[in-house]
Amino acid sequence: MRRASLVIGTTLVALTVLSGLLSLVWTPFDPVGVDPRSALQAPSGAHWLGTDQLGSDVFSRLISGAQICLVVGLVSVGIAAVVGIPLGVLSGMGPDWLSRLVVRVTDVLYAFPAVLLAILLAAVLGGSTVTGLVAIGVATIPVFTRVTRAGALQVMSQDHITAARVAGIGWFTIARRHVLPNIAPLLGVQASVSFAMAVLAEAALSYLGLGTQPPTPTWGRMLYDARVLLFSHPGLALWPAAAIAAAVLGFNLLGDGLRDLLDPRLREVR
Amino acid sequence: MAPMLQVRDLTVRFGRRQQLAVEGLDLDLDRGARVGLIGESGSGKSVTALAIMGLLPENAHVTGSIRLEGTELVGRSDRHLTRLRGDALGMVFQEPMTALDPTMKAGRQVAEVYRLHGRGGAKGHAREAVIGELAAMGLGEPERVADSYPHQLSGGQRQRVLMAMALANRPNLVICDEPTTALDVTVQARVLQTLRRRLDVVDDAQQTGAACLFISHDLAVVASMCDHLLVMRNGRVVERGSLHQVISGPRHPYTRGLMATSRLDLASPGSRLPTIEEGA
Repeated sequence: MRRASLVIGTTLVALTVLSGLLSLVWTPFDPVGVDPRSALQAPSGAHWLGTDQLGSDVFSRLISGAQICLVVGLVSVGIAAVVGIPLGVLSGMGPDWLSRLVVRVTDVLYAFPAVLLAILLAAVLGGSTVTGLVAIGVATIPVFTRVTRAGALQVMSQDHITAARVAGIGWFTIARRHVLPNIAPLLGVQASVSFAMAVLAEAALSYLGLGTQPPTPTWGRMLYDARVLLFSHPGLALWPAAAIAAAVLGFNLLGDGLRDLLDPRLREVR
Repeated sequence: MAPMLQVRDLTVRFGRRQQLAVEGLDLDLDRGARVGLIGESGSGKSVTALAIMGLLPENAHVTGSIRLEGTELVGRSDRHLTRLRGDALGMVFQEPMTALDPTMKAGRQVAEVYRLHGRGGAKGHAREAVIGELAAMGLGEPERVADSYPHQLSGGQRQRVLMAMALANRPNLVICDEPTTALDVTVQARVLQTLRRRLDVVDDAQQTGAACLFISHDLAVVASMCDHLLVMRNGRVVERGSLHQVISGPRHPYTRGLMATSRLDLASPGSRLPTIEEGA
């Protein structure tokens, strides 16, 4: 069962990554090309998934959309992890007042959903890919801070941390060599779940027009464009939706599988 | 000459309600001394040990004086204590499963302490030193143990690894907090024997061996390790003296009860077993 989630997760993620990479060097048609004469064609030998209302090739747009999806996921989770994990460790290991301070700030940050942040940022900077990924990243920081803090608090109460402190190991080394490795499985799962959430959030932001701007193909944007044709040409909405679902599911399953693989305690139980 | 460790009027309170955990504890430990601290769960034994280590949680309020080699420890910053702890103190814990980092191979954990104290030098040497130390702890296959994760070792093996860690920096004082409680009796006896031997050779320069504060609720174990005894109850020391004194002529009713319960062979068959009376 665990193996299955790892295999399926890896497959779906690999599919997304490969699509993104492939689209960098080759697409059947120009993903941003407009050709009104061939608009809204059904799937055919030339256009594998048909064309949209501007005559762009849906398949080309779909695999190009993986690029934005992956970039936004990686960068926003990166932002969240780089800021959130140290904050969480600080509040999990530091003195009481610091811990409280971080929790309060985190709570305030938590109150702003990614979409609200994106609207704020878009108002200042205008809607763009960067706006989207910064908004998603910042909105995800408190998630990482909380998970890290909870994990660190739990690890800190264990005897092996006391043993390390008795041995005279400084707190920075304890954080790096004892606390972080112990909560790494937790963080790995959180990263993959957050990655999935980021993909979803990016689609939502593009759909709202706050993220990546046309004509750059994104799955959210494709959904947005397809909404008026939902009943006459459901395929246009179906494909980007399926791509989003596959990527989100893939990262979730990968996270689960990774957790089991990375944890030495579980490695032999299986 | 002042004793190596001198504790005076140590009082520990916890939390906002100032819950009393240890009250007015005095303790002297000379170089190479073996002092046992016995008492039931919740009597303040472990809190005393953690207070000496400076490892009590933030909500603990410590008053009194703890002097190690003449240096006052109470009220010191954590940064200062960190250095002091690593150089002069070692601790063996009760639960060897949780006292080793589950994500790190046993050998690396011991090596970490070695390197920190400038022993072993280069990386390859550290490994040799670690394996030597593990072998000295009576581990049959030191190399395999060094390359194992804690969950792959038995309880006795884990406790020996832990002892190697505690003694790796050649401390002057080792605090053992119920080190054999999680082990069965036969393994316990062997581990104690090794611990005794290692404590004796630890301090080569002083020729006195490391001092040891041995915490346990098991009278037999303490008797085999220590030459002095402190009996604690409800945060207070109720009796103290040499091992012989306390065991042959306990004065406090609680100690008498403790003695009686540990000599079940003296109870006549069919009669009720001795208990420690509540008001004692």
